[in-house]
Amino acid sequence: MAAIKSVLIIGAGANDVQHGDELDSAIYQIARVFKQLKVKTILADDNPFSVSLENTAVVDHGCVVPLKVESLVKIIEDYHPDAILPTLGNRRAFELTQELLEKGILRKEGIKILGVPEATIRQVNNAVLLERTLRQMEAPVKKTVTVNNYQDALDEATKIGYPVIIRSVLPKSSSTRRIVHDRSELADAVKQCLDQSRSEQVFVQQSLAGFKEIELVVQRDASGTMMMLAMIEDMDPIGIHAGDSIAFNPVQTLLDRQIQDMRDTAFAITRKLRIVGINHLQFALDPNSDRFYVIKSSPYFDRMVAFASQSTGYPIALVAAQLYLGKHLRDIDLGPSYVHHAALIEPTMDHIAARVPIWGFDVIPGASHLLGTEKRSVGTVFGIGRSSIEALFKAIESRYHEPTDFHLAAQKKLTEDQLIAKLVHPEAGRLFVLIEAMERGYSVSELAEMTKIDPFYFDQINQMRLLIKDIIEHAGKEPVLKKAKYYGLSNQLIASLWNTTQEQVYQMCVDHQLTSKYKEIEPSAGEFDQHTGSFYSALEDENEISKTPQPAALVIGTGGLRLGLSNAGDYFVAMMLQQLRSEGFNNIIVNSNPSSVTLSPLLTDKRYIEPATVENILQIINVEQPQLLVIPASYANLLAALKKYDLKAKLIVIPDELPANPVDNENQHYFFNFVYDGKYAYPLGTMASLFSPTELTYQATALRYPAELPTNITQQLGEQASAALMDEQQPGLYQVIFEQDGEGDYQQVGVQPLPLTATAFLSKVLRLNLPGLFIRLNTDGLGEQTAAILKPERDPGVVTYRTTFPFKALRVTGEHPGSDKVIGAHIHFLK
Amino acid sequence: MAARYLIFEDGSIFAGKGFGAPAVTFGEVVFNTSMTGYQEIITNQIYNNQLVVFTQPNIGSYGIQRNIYESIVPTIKGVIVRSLSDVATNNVRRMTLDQYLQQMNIPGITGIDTRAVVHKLRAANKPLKGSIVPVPDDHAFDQLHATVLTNQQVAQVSTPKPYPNPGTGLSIVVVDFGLKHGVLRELSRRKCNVTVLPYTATAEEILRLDPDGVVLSSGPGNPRYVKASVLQMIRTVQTKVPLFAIGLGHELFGIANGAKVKRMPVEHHGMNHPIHEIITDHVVYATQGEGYAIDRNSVDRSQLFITYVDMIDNSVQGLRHRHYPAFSVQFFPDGAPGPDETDGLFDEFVDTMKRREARH
Repeated sequence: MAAIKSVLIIGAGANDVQHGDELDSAIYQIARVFKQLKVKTILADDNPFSVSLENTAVVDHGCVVPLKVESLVKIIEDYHPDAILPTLGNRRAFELTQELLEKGILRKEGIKILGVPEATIRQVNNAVLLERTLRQMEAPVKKTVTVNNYQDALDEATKIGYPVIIRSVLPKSSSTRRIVHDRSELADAVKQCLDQSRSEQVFVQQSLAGFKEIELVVQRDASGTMMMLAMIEDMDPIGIHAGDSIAFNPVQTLLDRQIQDMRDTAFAITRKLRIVGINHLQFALDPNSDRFYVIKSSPYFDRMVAFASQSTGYPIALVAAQLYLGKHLRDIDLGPSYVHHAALIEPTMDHIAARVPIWGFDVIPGASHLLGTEKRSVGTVFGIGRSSIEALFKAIESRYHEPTDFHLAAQKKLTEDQLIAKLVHPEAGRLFVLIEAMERGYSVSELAEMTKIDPFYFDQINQMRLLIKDIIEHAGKEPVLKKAKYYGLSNQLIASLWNTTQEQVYQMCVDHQLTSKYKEIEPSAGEFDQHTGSFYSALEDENEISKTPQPAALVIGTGGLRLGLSNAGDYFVAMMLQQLRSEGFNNIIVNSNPSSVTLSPLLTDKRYIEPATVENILQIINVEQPQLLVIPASYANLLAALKKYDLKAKLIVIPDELPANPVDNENQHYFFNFVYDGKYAYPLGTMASLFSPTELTYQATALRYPAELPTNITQQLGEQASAALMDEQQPGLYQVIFEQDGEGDYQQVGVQPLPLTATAFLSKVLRLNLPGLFIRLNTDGLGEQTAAILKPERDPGVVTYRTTFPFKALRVTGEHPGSDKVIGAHIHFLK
Repeated sequence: MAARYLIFEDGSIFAGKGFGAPAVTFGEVVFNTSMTGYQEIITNQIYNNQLVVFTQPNIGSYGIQRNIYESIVPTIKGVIVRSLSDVATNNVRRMTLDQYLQQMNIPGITGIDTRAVVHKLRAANKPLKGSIVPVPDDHAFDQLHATVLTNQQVAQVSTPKPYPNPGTGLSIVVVDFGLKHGVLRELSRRKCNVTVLPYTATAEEILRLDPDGVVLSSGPGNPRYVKASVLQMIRTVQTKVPLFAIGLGHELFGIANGAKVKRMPVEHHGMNHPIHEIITDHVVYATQGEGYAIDRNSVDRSQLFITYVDMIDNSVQGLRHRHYPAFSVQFFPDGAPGPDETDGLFDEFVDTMKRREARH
């Protein structure tokens, strides 16, 4: 292959329920490797929260364009890239690549597609084509036949075995899909689906509901070498979207030969599709027959790949970047912290990682909590421990911004019928329902039958239940405290069970030497002397951490992606880390979001995959002795608790709290933005809430830069705003909000820290690293050069910011699009 | 579960909780980094005289299954885990790992900082003796120090009598040095008519059965302690019929043809090392369980050539004879547990036998 000198990366666009921060993280890492290898990168994206876009440390040319084929054609004509990379922009990037193929521009320009051949792009985009290929290669896929009358449908359903799924071929309106549990339901379903079909045909399909869902991440290089990177088991069966299930890496309940058969199939498919890089495959396993079926093959980066990488310590993105450029696995060097040929060692784990979903239900109470085949969660967090119970307790604790009362009390109130309904029709947070069911004496076999969850998990859940009981019954006793800490319970949870304070629990841990040790997340399970710099806590014998070279900054990440913040939190922290590094700090992060870019070694020297509990932070501070401690303001309990201790570090608070929704009225709002160093307020330009001229719907969350105001008004309000800032104590980024009332007068309605979403937007508008400035303001200050630093290198013109919401995915109507419900955003530079 | 202790000859003590049999056993402590297949590992006879540390922390999550044994009477000396699951999911006769080890008189210990133990074994850079004991007192350590592990391990695990595993295809003699059922499974899959003979079988006894080919099985321990007559048997048999040797069989095949073996400072047990298949230039993965390796420099290139190499520790992983249809691998091509991407070696063996048959 001719050497590739430039690559066009198709970005992911605004986050939605299907994809989020993991793609920006992958772009960041892969583009950085390309840069090291002297390959120029052009990134097409319009996500204002992207860390890679408009970041010259990452990509050479950031093109802020809507993700449409016309924009990509324009970029190709402007930049003439040698290759295009479609694996970092979710399914949409595959569709765009196919459109480019159909336009003939890739052939005309001689542009190579990295990672997947043309034919595979078409197959990933078209389920029917892919299924044909899988059948040809005799990979196990679910049985599907096409019939045009009831009698044939009955024959086929009998052959396949109930339940079956009846679906219209070429449906007239919305696609109709019926699950038929027995013969009595068949006639009605067939009639309905035949009526809906343009060709008067229906599919009779085998139902995989209730089978185990297993996910494999494999990797292949251009020479055909393949390896398995992770085997992940979803606790919930097929029927509940994998993204909404609790998942464990590695698999917990599978026999070796079941896994080996899936591995062979995964390899065969990856080879057949000639994939170079990663492939994430999903399987359904019938636990009664050992038979399994391929559900999906996704040769692109997604949440599961991010989870696989963070939980094994194998740097998937950094390796994939080299594979894309044609390098072979045997020639990839992972650097001096790994053994020779470490890229070729299949990761093996001596810990267990549990991944749990983050829901948006607290801000969208109207959404149904019922779990099904459509994804409802918006983010994800994970916990790592030395047992599945410990991993799960930590993952639950990492849901910091979700209600943390452990949901147990609520379950007590359920009537028997309600409980059974919740067991059979699972809802978000079902773990707590399962605990309650065991508490009420349901047997493991009853529960396994009702939920299709493997008995092993009930054994684990039962142990969790008994442990909680044990803790409650032995308040203040050392043996039970030791046990609780051994299983990863936080002091806060123990304190709530004991009706005491977490300070007292912490003191008791210190008195009895029950403070955690930390183990390295390293992909050879201790076989080799390798170091990844990623750690998790364990109450065991050996401690593997030591003080990081100084100066060090300890940063608490913003956690799992949540509505309102989207990944503006990760943007802020990542840019801040970039600044800290350039100032010579060694960065240490505590985070539990596997998709977060802040867990990349390119930004942080040391990573703690831990819930941000008081005891963790205190223990880490004890060892690391950082000069700076940076904590998001939304960790209010943590901040309050930490203030009781002598931290010996300068505390900086990230203003990640969601601003109150602007008053829901038709009045125009204006935002005057400033850098405030404690003495002077330097203007950062203005923004106005945007009345969209094209879409008549008013969005209080949409913005334009700059505000359109008469010059004299701008000056007058600007002076008023900077005067208002002089009352602020803390240096930082601020905005002063004005509202234009019915009479046309401007009223100052608020002064607030610049919201992180607006910080991300404004950073891209002004081409400034505002999170970096924020850190400088809080450390050495900006000094004499402030005004010069803030002078934009070009006039950005008019720029708009539009938010997106998960209402459609969550199937809610009539929701008010408030800033606390934002899941993603688009930025657009108007010419 | 009662408190028990994992003790080492260097005086170190790890506290845990006992499961399985309350027996006190002595052996070398080795670690296995496989993430799946605990039952297959525990029943593999290569662990005769050894206690195995599982690095995958959760062991026992599906109990004991009836169709994945690798031997009927395992002789592993102990099972060391971080987190034992007491679950039985076998649908016919429910049995937990704990119950199984009790029946088999094998001690286990859980709650161990297995990662710390692995670090210790790696740092020692030599095999360490250990034991699971109820009280870690001087007496326990005295016993540990006084214990001399037998070097007649193959004699302990090889079948005392021949037995058949009938099939309708090629006739094969398997010489049992501590046979894994995986080998029989692979041969059954290829319809072979198998006779398993004790490791003491002479060339004459083997050839008297008129086999199409001979398999030398894997097994425990140091190949130099296996009776010298075995080497003579190999030298004769390889000249007469196709020969396929695995694990300990591979080491013996190498020695019989002039190579030397050396002790590995840290034993390697796992399934994640890349193995270079020299003839195809492919990378493959397979289960490995090895404490000894053929010394690459001792291989007589006029007799043998190297076919597979471990890309991490550069150990010889496969040999082939230049003059006879005889080949061997150090790893386990039958998987169980582990990847089956090298099971084509059994097809190759069958093809070799068929080609010879066609010539006759």
